[in-house]
Amino acid sequence: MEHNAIIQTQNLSKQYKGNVYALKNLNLDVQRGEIFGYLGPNGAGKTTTIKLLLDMIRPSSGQAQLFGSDVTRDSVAVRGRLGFLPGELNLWERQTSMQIIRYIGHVRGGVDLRYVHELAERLQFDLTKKVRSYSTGNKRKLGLILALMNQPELLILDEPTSGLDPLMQQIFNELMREARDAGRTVFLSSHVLGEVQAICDRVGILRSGVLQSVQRVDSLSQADFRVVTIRFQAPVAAGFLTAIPNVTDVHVHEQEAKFQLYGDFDPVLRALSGQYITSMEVEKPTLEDIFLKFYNTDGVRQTEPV
Amino acid sequence: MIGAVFIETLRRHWRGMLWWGFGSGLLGASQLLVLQDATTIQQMGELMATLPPVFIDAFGGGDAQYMGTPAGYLGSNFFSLGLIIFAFYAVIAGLNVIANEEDRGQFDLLLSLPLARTRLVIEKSAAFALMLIGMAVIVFGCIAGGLLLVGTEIIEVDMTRVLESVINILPGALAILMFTVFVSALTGSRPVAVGASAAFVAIGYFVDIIGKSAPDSPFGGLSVLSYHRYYDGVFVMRDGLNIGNMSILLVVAAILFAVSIGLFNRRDVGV
Repeated sequence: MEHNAIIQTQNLSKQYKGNVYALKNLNLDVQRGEIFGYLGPNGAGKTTTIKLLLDMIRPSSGQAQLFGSDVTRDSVAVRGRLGFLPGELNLWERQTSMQIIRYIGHVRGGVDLRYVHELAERLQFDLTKKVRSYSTGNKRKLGLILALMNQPELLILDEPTSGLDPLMQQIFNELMREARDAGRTVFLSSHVLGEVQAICDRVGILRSGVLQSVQRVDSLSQADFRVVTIRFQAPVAAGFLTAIPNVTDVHVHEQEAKFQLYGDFDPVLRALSGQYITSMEVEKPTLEDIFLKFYNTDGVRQTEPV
Repeated sequence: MIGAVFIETLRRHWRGMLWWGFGSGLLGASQLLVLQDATTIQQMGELMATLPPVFIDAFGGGDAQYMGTPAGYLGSNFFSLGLIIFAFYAVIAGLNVIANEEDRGQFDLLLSLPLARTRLVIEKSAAFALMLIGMAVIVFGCIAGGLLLVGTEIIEVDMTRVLESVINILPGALAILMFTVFVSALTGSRPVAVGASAAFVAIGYFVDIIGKSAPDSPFGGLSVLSYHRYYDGVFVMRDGLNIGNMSILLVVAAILFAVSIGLFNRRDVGV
């Protein structure tokens, strides 16, 4: 039976000794044919989620399904339908890429070497060298080839572009879009906002093991606040800006003030009426601005999810 | 594909097995240089007869008169330590089943494949068990080759007994291999597996040696727990294989293997 929900979790939790939750009550649905970004700072629980999905670690409570099958009970069958790139790819240093590709291919029951060569060509990767001779970026490329080479229905990629140069990141984005266009599903964890913004359809934001919000990336970009930068003729104090309703995150440096505005401009304009303004810029928030709304510097969520 | 891990394990480790096999085999064959000299053997026998039991036991125990024969000399000077020599390889092999790859984070990729943990352990263990047999074949080949080169009329040693003595090493080596797999499966820690396996080999050996020398001491009672007690390194050259003792070691290996699979299936990997 074909399931449209490729990844599903119900109250999935992982607790370690000392009552520490690496993941708490995760409820997630990732649909067939979408690129889902799993966003969060280091230690948020992204890799824990992935390890639970791959049955490397077992949940303390809750459950997870891939392709509608339980990830623990049917682990071998579901793993036959996915490709995985670990966040920290540790390979056998004395083996060549081709030896590793053949080995992984044999375990999977076969590999299309023509497609492997095509991937290697696109990623500008030399398959003949030993792993120990590769740079971090090249090891990442090998990891991508290993994940993609069987053209799996589901790709689970943990920080896939770390170590890739901008050109390779573009090629990676193309590969992900091609996978989506072919009806495959991509679940990628990242803390690189640009990466998520460039290719993901939806994004889940995770913090301290708790899923804060799941949103479409385009709706995140249409968040209901704007970033306002005003340059005054003379230095100003922050106090009068923070007193304006719906104004948050006020940063003042000499003559320049930057803040976030929810709602209408009228209260701001009224409050500024006595000031001489030399310039004013209004921008839509970047994904980073939105992300920072969830995680301010002391880790406290500042606003309601967008 | 079934057998992929088995074949890959053989491909990566067969050269190491050759080195260990030839190294151990040449050590055994080097004893033949002494065996060519009948006077030395006779003098060794006379020396053995004067030694206190604790020293005789350190050479494998028992019969000083037998130890003054070529078979006894080979038994006490090589086969009494044969299991300890194989134990080094068995611990290294056992580490390669789980602990090394888990410690290096290589299971992250391997266990994302359609590969059951049980199959992973079975295929890797089977490959290393086969390489232990390969190592034994090389050791026998070196000693038998040396004997044929010198001539069995000069060194009166029964070739069948040499073969049996080499075969006799295997159950103990397999038990040590499986003990290392067991600790790895239990803890997932390479340092712990190395330490526990080295302690298992060393303590088992000394408890047996001391237990034989002082049967009334606590070591005498403890020695039944030592794997080495069931390894008849010296006397297979005279009496042939002790199937009972070999079976005990094989059963221990099988139990450790089964428990290892259960433990490895149950725990979190790579945390």
